[in-house]
Amino acid sequence: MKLTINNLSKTYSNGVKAIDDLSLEIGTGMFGLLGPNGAGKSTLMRTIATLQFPDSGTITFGDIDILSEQTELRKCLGYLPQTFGVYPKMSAEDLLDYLATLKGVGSKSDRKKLVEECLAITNLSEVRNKYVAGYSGGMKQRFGIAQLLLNKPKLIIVDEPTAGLDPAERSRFLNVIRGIGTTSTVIFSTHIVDDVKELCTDMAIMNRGRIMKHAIPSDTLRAFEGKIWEGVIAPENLEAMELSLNVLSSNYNQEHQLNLRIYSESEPEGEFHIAEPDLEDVYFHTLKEDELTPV
Amino acid sequence: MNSSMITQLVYRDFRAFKKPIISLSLFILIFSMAITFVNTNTLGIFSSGLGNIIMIILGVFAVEQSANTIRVHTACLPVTRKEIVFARFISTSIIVVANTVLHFMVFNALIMAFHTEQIYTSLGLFVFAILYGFIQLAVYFFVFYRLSLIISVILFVLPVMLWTTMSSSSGFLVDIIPTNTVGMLLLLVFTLVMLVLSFYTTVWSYRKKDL
Repeated sequence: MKLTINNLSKTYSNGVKAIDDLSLEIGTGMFGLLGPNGAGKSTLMRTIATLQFPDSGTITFGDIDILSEQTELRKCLGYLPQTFGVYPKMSAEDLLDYLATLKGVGSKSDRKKLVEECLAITNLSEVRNKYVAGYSGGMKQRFGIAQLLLNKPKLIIVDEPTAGLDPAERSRFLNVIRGIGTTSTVIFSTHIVDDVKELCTDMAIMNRGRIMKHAIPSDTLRAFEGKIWEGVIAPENLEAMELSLNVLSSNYNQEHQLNLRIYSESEPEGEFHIAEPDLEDVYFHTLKEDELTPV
Repeated sequence: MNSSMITQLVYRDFRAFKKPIISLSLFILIFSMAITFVNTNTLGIFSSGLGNIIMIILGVFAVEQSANTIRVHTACLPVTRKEIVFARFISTSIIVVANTVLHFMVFNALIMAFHTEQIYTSLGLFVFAILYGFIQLAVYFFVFYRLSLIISVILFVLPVMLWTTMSSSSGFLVDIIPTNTVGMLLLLVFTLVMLVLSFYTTVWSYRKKDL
């Protein structure tokens, strides 16, 4: 099923324009939505999840008009917000059983089977009887995935789920997401470029409430081939380099020098060598172009 | 409205918040009875102390009020915002009625055990206490579904406490309204209007609220 967003706009009462005339089409599979903090990703996610209301525009998922048939969408929606709120004294098994009831699974035996299945997918079977409120951040996020799987959703929205997770939990979480992203439309919002690189077959970069780039990761990397250059400079030369070259990123190395990555269609002056493009280069280049565009 | 969904949401409230409901109810009961029996105007203090019952609701659902994530989680389920508000109206009403009954039972038991006075079984006072609880509930919904927790507490708790204090000393709760049929009818109509108004305006505002 396809999610279609047309001319969506949302301005908060404090004057912040969170979404600015945004249009986007998302098909089945893993879709990565990249953007810096404050880009409008969460507002877009919450609007699609029927939690917020746009000022104008339309959103449809298959035949469902999301803005007018909210309950219809919620029947096939799985949403995991940035932080997953849980009730203070409920075990994972009890909470999932209760949520399954609310999601329309009437039979007790069906619920039991479903809950066991979801706990197994998210590797939480061993801690099923512990209070969810006592789980670690990563376990809570996996529990969040377990609860969204209960109604076998066709549209799954996960909003910055790996922020704050340690590497092991992040890897475990991404493996779970990868497993469920084959048959549904999964929108994965993040500011961690590596998450998109590892998971997504389609992606967009969002900034200042607008979609700056919508592309297939492999295609966009191909378009950057031969245009990314790498070199090492002294930190005091950075300012001058930034004025003369399109600097995408600079990171200190162990010799306290700066590893510089730049975008250039032709070979730049200085000691630079061609580098393999990665999604981070695409991300920084897109944001930089946007910053140079007047609002 | 989907009645099975509403039932499930009410059930959720009592299952998820079982411990805070029980502990806060006990605390308020002990507190109300303690202040009642150290005073000479026993009945007046008791009846004004019934106003504390609303504090149970305030305390129990403050977790949800302060952590928007729990509200988000419910709002993503296949329920309408109207059903969510209605379910909460039902569960809070049950808490108010159950606690009022409990307060009356314990009050009368204590009177019987420690005082020589006759057991106070005025139906008027009981109905009045229930109506008073519902008025407070109407105000609670009016404030708490719109504003942040801190502002809501200031707007809600201070007037309730002020009114409770004033009414306990004036005898308004015990002597005037419960014994006056016209007064009771007017209060009943006022309570219903408040509840209906509070419910519909809350639904109206919650439907448009960005979570």
